[in-house]
Amino acid sequence: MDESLLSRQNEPSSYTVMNVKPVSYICGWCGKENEFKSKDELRCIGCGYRIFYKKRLAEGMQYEAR
Amino acid sequence: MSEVYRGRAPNIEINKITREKIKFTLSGVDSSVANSLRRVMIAEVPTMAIDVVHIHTNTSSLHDEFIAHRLGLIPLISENQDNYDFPRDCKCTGHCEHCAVQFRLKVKNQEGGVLDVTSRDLRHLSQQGNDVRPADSDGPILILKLRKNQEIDITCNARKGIGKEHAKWSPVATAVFKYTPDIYLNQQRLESQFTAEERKEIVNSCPVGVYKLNEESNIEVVKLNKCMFCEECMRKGEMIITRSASALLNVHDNVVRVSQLKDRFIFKVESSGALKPESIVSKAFTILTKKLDDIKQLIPPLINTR
Ligand code: SF4
Ligand SMILES: [Zn+2]
Ligand SMILES: [Zn+2]
Repeated sequence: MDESLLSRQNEPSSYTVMNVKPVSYICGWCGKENEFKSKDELRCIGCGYRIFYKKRLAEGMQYEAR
Repeated sequence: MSEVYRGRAPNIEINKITREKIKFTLSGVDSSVANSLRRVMIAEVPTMAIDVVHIHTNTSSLHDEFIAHRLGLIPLISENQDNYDFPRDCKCTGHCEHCAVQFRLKVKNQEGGVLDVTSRDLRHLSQQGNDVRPADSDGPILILKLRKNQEIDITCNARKGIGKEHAKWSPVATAVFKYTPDIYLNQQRLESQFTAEERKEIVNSCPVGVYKLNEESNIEVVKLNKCMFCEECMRKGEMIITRSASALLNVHDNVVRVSQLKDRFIFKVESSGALKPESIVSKAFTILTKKLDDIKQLIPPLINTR
């Protein structure tokens, strides 16, 4: 934790989005967790809704208090 | 005490000091000096403030940036700020005990109802750095509120900085000065040409109560420094002259005159809580003289290269 407090490594980057490993999002309608790879169509398997919420990063986020 | 320059001796007179406020009179200097002092107090006296916020968990109703901003604005007692380096001057990469004080804010509402998370919940991560703590002796500073099972877990770094970079580092809430008022009352005419009723009108015309009627119902200046140069008293005086018979006597110079002494400055400085008001003023002077010294160092080479 100590080192990461000032480094920028926790900031989300477009690189993470392009990652091949599936990312899990929460459906805005039914709340089901959906896993997407970069080329997948954004559509909930359960209900077909197209709006999703990104999950918080597990390791936390860093901000400037300004 | 001080050197006489251009026939004036700079002087400071302290009128009032409380825990959070200082009032003083700076005299024998130009307004440029007074204004430099004011601006240094606002923007260049360093304090400590929370600057980097690492949010591990936040299930409260406020978003991360909002909480980070609120943490930054908490005044931290910075009397020992000389023991810390500016992050840019510190040899370390990141942070160390010479340039940062770390806090942890970890609260979860398990009881139900609404739980206030305040500056009192901020804990130091290490033993040293205990001198830098929230300036909340007047009561805890509210950061956010939590409903049942909401949780917050934050680590943050307080660093040294100046108000020029961000207002959260400014040690003052108010830092203002004004010229000293100089009130001239023509007592002779006030007594001979004005009725007691009219003198009372002049006294009552002042919105801040500078004047008072004494036992002989003469006008007396009681709170000179309250004057804000609105000239209401002068206007009232003129009005009474014009409407009375004395206007016919062609005596038009006013009985009340308010002017400004342009080399006496009344300062009012209110601390944010980070520094004692008197140390804000003395630190500002140190910084101001340091700046002038820096310039002075540069002068001889400039002349020699001509
Ligand atoms: S100028 Fe205004 S504030 Fe000052 S004494 Fe006159 S009425 Fe009062
Ligand atoms: Zn769905
Ligand atoms: Zn350091």
